[in-house]
Amino acid sequence: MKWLNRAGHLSLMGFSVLIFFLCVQLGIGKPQSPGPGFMPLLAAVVLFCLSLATIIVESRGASEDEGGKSSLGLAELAKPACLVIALIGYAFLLNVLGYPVTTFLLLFALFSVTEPQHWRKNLLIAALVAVLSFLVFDKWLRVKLPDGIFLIGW
Amino acid sequence: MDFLESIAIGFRASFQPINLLYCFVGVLIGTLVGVLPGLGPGGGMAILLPVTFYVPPLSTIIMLAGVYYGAQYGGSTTSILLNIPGEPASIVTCLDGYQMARQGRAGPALGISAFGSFIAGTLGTLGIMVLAGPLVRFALRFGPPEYFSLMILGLIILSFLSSKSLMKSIAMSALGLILSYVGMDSIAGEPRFTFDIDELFTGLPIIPMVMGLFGIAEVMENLEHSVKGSIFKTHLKGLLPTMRDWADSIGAILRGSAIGFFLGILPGGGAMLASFVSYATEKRLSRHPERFGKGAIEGVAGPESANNSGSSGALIPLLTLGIPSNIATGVLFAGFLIHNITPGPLLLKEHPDMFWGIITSMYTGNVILLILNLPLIGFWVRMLQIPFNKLFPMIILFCLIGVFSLNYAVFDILLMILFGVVGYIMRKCKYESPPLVLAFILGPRLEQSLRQSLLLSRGDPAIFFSRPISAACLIIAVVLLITSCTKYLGKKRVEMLKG
Repeated sequence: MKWLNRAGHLSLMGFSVLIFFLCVQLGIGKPQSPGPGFMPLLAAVVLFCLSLATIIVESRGASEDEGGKSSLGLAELAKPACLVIALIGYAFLLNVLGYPVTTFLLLFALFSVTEPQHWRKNLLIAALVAVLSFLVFDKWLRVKLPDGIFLIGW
Repeated sequence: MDFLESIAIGFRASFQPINLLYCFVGVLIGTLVGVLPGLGPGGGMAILLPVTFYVPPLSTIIMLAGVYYGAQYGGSTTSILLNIPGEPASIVTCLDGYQMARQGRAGPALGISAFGSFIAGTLGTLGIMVLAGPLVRFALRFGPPEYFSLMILGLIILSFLSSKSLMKSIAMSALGLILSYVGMDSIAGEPRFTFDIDELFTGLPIIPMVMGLFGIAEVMENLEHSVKGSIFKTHLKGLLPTMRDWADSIGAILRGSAIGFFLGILPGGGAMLASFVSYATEKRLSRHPERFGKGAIEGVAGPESANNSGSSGALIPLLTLGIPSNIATGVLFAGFLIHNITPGPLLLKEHPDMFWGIITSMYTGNVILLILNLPLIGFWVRMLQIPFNKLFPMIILFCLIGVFSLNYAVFDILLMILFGVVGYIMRKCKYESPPLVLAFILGPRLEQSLRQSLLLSRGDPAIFFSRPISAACLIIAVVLLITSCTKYLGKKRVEMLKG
């Protein structure tokens, strides 16, 4: 996972440079009256220096934890990626389709990620949990969950 | 107000039926969180945070604290029966607990860990009662420079203890500080890093962040490789330890309680460190250290007691100084803020019923935990049989409902997903989340203390070194940094000489 480590450190460096310039724009102030950019600028400098130091240390092979071995392949990344895609889809569909329908779709997708062969069981459990959780949170605990275009909320 | 009067106020408050109910709910959920691998006490508490909007303030904190110390009880069950720690503070229990189970002594192992936890939890609560008052009086002397230096020390200690790489931990603290400054600057009244996004003007909300970093990232990581482990097939009989077991364990329980409590008080300390130190101490003091790792009951009793009293001790900096020392107390801090209550030296003066109510509720909580963990052990063992693929969609669903119910905004869900991905990448790159979250919580107060100190001294940074408490904190922080650098350079030198 060397590429991921390097990408992580470089992203942190890039982020700290961005914050540095934003802090300068905000105004650093003077020691006797520090401005709004003063403290974040200090933090950004620390973050930049430490990210740079980590890249140098790890590129010299000093990192104990990687040793050039890749313990994570694309196959292992597939399930976490599916989860993220399903969650993003859920966020965008929630207000459109409403809570019960979107939750049913999400749960069915999540159960199917790990056990695609038991699709009938997954379908049943997803429907049951979606309806029960809607009744508990929306009707009993009064959490205003979206009804969506199907106006399932009653 | 004398000590006994304070205790009476505390018991009156914590014995209210609603508080007893929330104490029960908290320790029950805590035990569940501890029993089920894959969700630590911090994550479990974060999931409950949105619920606390609808709960009275004292009940909220009693419930969240119950989750925290309840998880320490529950964590031992998976360590002993599955050789998988339910939460980090139970890692060391696997060493001898699982070996005891293999030898047909799962019952005494579970029994002594429950009794040890009860004794330690009770002693830890007693310790808080005795020390809290004097510490509050001491903390009232603190000004902005002292608070600034103490928070810096806390962040350095947490970084020093929580990771193999001090550089990465401090980098995460710096990132947490930057993120905490998103929103309106309270002194200048200017928006910072908001990029004209309306939702960011009030700052980044902590709940989506914590749920993403701990809940979603944890599930993503567990999805890579499903948690495998089989419950050791053994009859759970003889949960009550024998006289011989007690004789072997009582010293370890008392030592573990003391070690845990005092290590728990340290910023960055808490249950995990306490359990490791207790195990090392017991092994060193034992006449038969060779038994450790092969089913020594002291190796279960000591660490299990230490992690419970450690969780009690960790409440002291939060309640007296208003400084959370680890991620779980950080979430507890957020629970206080939800109800517009700032923990710290003034908590005792302004809300004595709350202050003493929280502390005394821990007695009740420990009794409930003993009842839950001994007669109901069979139930918890059955809970262990819930497969992860049925469990994780439920965790995700609770996170989604919890985050959405904050503001009824899809933006919060997207923020949680973003932090989930960030948390997952951080785990892959061996960056740790606790320093980030703690720095995020402390950030605004740290900045305020720094700016107030510099205003007081007219820009002279010597103010941090001219006041004894502040100077002592900064000197300890510098010593820790130098120690860490020296160790690293020494290791490099040995490697070069070998190479």
